[in-house]
Amino acid sequence: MAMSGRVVVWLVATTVIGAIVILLSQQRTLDPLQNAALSLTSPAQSALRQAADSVSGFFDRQGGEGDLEAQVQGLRRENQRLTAELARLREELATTQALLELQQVVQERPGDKFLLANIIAKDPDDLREAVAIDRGRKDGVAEGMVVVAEGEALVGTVTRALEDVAWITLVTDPNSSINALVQSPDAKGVVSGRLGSRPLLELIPQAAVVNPGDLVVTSGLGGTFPKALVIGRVITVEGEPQDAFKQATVEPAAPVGELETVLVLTSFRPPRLQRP
Amino acid sequence: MNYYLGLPLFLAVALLQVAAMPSFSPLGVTPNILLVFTACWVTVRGQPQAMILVPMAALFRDLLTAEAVGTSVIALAPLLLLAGIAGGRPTEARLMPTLLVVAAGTLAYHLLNGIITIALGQTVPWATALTQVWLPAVAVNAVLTPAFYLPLWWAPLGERPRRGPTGR
Repeated sequence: MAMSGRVVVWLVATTVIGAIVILLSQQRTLDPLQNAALSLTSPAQSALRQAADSVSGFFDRQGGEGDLEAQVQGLRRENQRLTAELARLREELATTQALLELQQVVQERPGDKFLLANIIAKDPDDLREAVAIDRGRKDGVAEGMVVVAEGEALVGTVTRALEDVAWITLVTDPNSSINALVQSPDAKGVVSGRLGSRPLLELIPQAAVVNPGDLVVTSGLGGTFPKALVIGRVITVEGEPQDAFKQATVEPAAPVGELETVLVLTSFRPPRLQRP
Repeated sequence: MNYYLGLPLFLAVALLQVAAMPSFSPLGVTPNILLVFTACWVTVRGQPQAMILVPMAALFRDLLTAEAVGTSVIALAPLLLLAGIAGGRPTEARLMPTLLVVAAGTLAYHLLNGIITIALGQTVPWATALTQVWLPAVAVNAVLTPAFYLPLWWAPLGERPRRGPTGR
């Protein structure tokens, strides 16, 4: 058979086999294989990532950014801590001053349980913002659990939990969507991840007052996220007066590109909607 | 001999792709060294070896990412066809055709990846992806091509196929 014909046959066969493997993957049949591959290569991946970060950092330092970077890191951590404290205090104030709405989930922060996890891999696909952690089902991690960084800054949610590792979809992922609240004053909206840009806070009522610098937190609506987790701060506000809604660009509170350790909120599970 | 040497090479490149490349983001995209390496291998070493090695490396890569396993198997497959279309003789320096294969292969890779993503129920911002991911990725992968092509061309990895990439 001519080579070109053989290649066509190979293409068709590869496509069919690839589709079958994708189906098996979606049905979780390949989870043990994925778990083993990630676990076995984790040390090598960590070493390679550290080496790559060093090389990448070397070029950054040539631009004189090394010392400034360390200062920025320290200031960012302190800012996260203060921002989280501010969000909790404001939420407590809103609760005592307003009528309580019927909620699907009531979260009590002192009773929350957290699991420390290290980031072991980052998805290389440019259309996806996801990282892998070294905790999985055997550690109590389940899909839907919320992941936070220092200062309770929202990092993302667990979208795939294998036996020893789990994949987290970050708040910056284009498929991420979070019911949010802009504090001071309260204005509700939805924070959606965007490709190559900061997340966008959408569906803000036109009458709502939103200013650059305002704190954006999870509203708790829908029960997918606990209330008052810090998503970020408003950078810019866009929209014409004649539009029904306006939108705002949000700077994520969690430094998703620099995270090495995160906390999985294991005491929070999104409730399953049931028929009355 | 080429398979015994080629498989570890492909797996190592796949591991580097997953572990190290996310640390670099020229033009805001992650270099796809597995794609570049595959294109260079096909044009230098021929299609028959790649038919075996590429799916294995693609599977290994997918096992280490959040993507559905099998996605890269489909997305990298067009490279072999593109290399055959590019033609040429193994004794010729084929850097320019290889660059074209890398460029077209990058677009095909991202297009197939997007189609599979849509089929699995997720969204793809096509217009943004084209301008902010696909086109920059073409440029980045093309710049990286000589770094993989020249060593493969010079490396004593065994006898090259006497025929071109298509076997003719």
